[in-house]
Amino acid sequence: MKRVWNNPEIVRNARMQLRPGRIIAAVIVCLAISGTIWESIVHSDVAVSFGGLHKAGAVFAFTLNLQIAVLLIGGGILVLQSVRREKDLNTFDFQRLTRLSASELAVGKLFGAPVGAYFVTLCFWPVALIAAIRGQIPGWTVTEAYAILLLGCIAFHSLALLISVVERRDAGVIGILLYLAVLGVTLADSRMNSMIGRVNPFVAGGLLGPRWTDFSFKDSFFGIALPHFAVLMVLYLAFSTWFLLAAIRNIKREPSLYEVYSPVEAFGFALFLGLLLIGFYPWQANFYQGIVRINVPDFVLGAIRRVATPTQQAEQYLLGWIILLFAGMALVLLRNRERARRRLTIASSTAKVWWMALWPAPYIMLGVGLMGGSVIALIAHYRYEGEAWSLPLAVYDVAFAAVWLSRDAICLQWLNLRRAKMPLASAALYYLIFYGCTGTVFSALFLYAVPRSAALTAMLLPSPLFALNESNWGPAQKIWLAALLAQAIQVIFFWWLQQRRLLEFSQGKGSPTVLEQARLQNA
Amino acid sequence: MAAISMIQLINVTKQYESQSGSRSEIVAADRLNLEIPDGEIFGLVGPNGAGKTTTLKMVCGLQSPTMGQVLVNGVDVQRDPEKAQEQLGYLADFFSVYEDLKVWEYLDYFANAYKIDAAKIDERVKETIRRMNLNGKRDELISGLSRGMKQRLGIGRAVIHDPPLIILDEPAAGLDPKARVELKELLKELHAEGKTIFITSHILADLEEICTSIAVMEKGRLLRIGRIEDVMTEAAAVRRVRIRLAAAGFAAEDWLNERPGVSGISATATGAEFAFVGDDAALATLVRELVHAGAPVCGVEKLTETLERLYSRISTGEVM
Repeated sequence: MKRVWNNPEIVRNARMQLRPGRIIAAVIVCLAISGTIWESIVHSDVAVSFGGLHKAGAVFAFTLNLQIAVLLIGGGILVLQSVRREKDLNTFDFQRLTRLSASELAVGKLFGAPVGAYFVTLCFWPVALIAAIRGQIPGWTVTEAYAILLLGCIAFHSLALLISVVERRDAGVIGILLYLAVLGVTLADSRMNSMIGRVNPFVAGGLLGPRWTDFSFKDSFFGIALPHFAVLMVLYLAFSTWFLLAAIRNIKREPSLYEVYSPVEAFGFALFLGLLLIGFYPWQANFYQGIVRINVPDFVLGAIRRVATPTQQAEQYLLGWIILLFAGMALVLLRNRERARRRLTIASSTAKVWWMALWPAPYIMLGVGLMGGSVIALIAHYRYEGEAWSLPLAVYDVAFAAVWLSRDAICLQWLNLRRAKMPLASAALYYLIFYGCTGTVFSALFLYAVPRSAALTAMLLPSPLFALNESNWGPAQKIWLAALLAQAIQVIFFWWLQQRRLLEFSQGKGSPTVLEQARLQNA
Repeated sequence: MAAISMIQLINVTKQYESQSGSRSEIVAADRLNLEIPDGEIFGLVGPNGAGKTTTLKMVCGLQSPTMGQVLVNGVDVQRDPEKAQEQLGYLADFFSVYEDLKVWEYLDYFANAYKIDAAKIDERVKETIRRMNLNGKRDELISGLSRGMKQRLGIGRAVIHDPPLIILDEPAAGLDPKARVELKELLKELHAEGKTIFITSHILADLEEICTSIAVMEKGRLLRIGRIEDVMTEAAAVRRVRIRLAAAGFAAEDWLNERPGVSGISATATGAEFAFVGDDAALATLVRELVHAGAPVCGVEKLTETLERLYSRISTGEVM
């Protein structure tokens, strides 16, 4: 691999973005902005209280946030455009044909596309450093702040690169909105639900003054207190690696064969996220102090709060996240017709169709089982001895979630193999309508109010599962078991449908040439 | 040992999902079998949507066939795409260049991306600029170049790593006549250097002039393949003949109408043009009989089949 800074893609971007005229213009604009910031804060007669810092410190904090904004948002958008723009210009194929490896091309775009944003960030350094010295901000703090800025931006840029690689040609705005949404979500303070502070690079400001308290807060991973800075560094590196892995995997591929992760990688990523979820869960705070702090609007979890103990609330909360995680993993693993055909061709026999028709249920069952089992084990470890909690019921919850998620995933996979313009999007719309309408009808009939009828609804919808406890389990135990069985039968039904579709492929109805391929290979 | 073909397509098929939302699938390439020997200029002819670009992209490894095998210089493109891609340079039908780069920077970027020995890059860039006749433009921004110059720069990019195979998709599209002439000269030069060129074009007259072999493609299928003269001779089994008479007065049309194998007669007072089915001996007999019948024949010529005429006859005119 060529050394990073000799990477042709970085050199090309630097040549395009950093022409002398542009450099001079950027320097002049940055100097003007720096001067304005300095004048308006340091020479202002008004007392400045920027996070409790005195004036020069406030200039540093303001400039730091400006640098983060330029690199994180401006640089991120440049990275988002890096591959999409090349595809629009029809130049991306030329890059794919060169001898640059996928990793060289991805790294080149990661650091090359935002090279202009890096330069502007550097232009603000003089005023930031002067302000840091005059504001007597410790050198280590400044170093930490810039380490967060740099590694944090790299992590987010890696995500932007991945979006840019896999997004459709006509989905540019969606990509930008998705990126900004992730930025927004990570700005939120999640400490009500977890023992980790903010993870957005804007947290670097928290190093500077008493108003930002993130750094006085130690993260807690399975009860072990860790400095937030160290946790951030590890998280940034880990997420950069995961996102880059996916970008590298796909960047030189044919678009119709994009596959964000291999099944094993997707499974590993879901487990990694699950580990973070349960590792940073406030086990000790919630259980030893008897406090459950779930930062979700009351209208969402109100019903649960009314009926559940703190232990049950924790279980439902974590189970909900596990379901979300593995639903996301299932979406990543879904195969389009082209990929399904390819898998069939590789299998070169119809003998494995029954196994392929289960896709992607095995990973969901295994993942939900593993993560759900971990949650149950941790609850059993941390909960109050005397608190009402049923192990068999918790196991039922996990089993139901795994089977229900498998049902929907196999159904979506089957629908995704139809001939349609956007089969997955229309399948998701079917699901939205199904869940919306069915839920509305069940609510209108007050079916959720009575334990037995609520259990009956679980044959179609999983929502009553989140309010299931010992009191409503008792009178409807058999119906709940029947609901689980009904879900399993639906899994078998959709598996059968998917198997039929795959057999059509292998028998050449959907694809007149695949059978010939199999014959050729067997010959 | 038999020489390895530069390009080999073995039973190659490519199916697409229809983007229009219809329930049909598009077969862009249908069981293609094609062999292009080293050193050819091979033209692929066909209407829009015939599957030419898809075929070229499969040869480049930019798209994977649904089934079948593509070999470039003996290397399986599916199994070892990077090794196969080292052997080829590709120019797409519609393409852009990086307008904010200078000519030499553009070529330097691709020379580095193709991992040419660093010590040789400057020389290689200079040589490519010279060969593409862009000498005076070395330090100019690409945005200031004409369409023809950009096209030459694109070809320069495709050959910067000196590949034995050059794949050009509609390289003459959008070029003015002068630029087209320059392009043809450039392709002839590259061919003279031993490059194999695989080219598609709508401008059949250009292909006819430079190609050594052609294939006619339609609806994803290859209708005719072969040396250009063979294909044209084969297709010209029904050939057109022109007879010239020294003086008016002989009813050539009436006389020809009664002859077997003659059709499509277009006669004037001093001659006739007609389609004739039969070999050279049969044509000689026809001419001898015509002279015996009293026609003042002063000239007989077989009309040359142009590629365009040939194409229009081979093609059914259907597009997918």
